[in-house]
Amino acid sequence: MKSKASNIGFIFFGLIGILPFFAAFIYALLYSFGMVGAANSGFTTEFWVSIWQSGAFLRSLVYSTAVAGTSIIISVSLALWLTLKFRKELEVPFLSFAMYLPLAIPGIVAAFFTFQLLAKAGFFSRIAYAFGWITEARQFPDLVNDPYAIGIIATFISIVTPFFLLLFLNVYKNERVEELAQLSQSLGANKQQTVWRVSLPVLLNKTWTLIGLYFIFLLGAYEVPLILGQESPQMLSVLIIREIKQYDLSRLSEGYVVAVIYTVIVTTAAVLLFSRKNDVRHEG
Amino acid sequence: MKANWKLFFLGALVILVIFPFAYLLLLSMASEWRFPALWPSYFGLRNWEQVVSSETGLISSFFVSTAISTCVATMATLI
Repeated sequence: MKSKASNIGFIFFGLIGILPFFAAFIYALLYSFGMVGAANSGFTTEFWVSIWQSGAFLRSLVYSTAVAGTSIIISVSLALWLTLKFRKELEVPFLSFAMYLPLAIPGIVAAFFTFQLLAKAGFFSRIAYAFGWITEARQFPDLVNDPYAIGIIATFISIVTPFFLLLFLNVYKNERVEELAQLSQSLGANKQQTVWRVSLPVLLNKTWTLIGLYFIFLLGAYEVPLILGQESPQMLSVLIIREIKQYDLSRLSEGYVVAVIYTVIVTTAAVLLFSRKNDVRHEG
Repeated sequence: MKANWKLFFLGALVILVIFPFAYLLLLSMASEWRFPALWPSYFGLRNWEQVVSSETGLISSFFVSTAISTCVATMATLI
């Protein structure tokens, strides 16, 4: 009975989760080779060559990886530090509720909020003016739509850190890291050794797949870089949508080329992540 | 001293979490807020009244969003 129910679940997962994704991928692949689409006349590799020669995709990939990587490293470090330093205080119901609150903010609202704070005529610029640090709006540094993606990274950190904090707090409790730390100290380890050799390895070992998945999620984020990103290079999803939505039908196929490469990279990364996780389980 | 430092930090963290909600509420009630004014020249419910009276699709999009998220959550949990 149980296996029948799980079979139905698997079929549903295939129909709803895998089939549309697979169909969309095939459609994008055919479009990228000119085999589908009103403006295309048959098989060609010119769109692939054009994307490769323009370098837009590669720039965008490096830029997205750098932005997502920086955001994840800062968020995870911050969440780990808060977990190890404030875990007891964060058990207070009000504080744990306050930590949940940012998870309720959608990405687009968070991006809008960051823009209102960091733009040249934003909240911080007004404060700088009131203190006499600047005399006109344009003297305020570029913190949104800037080349270093400061606005995007700040928004990602504010969205992602609460999630990792809650994750690490749960793992800390479930994996009995407190007891392990006490044990290591009773065996002669000092505080630093306990943190670096016991607490951090246990926390990271149990969560690195999720950290990897979140990195992939940020790599493909759309709304935040759309509002806070610069014109070029753009993050991958913004680049894909820009290419697909433009009026020039002949360039539609180039958008699909970028979409196909991106899908292949992300799917490969996800498969590698999960296969390595399974290997670790088998070894364990 | 150590406890004070922790208390101060946690207080700052709570303010950091609550500030976006308060600031967005302020933005929704503010208008004619030009640079470099620190406070809007109008503060009241005008924007809210305008949205409620003129935006015809607001309630329907709220229901569509609720329906989609309920459906996705239910299906994902069942599967």
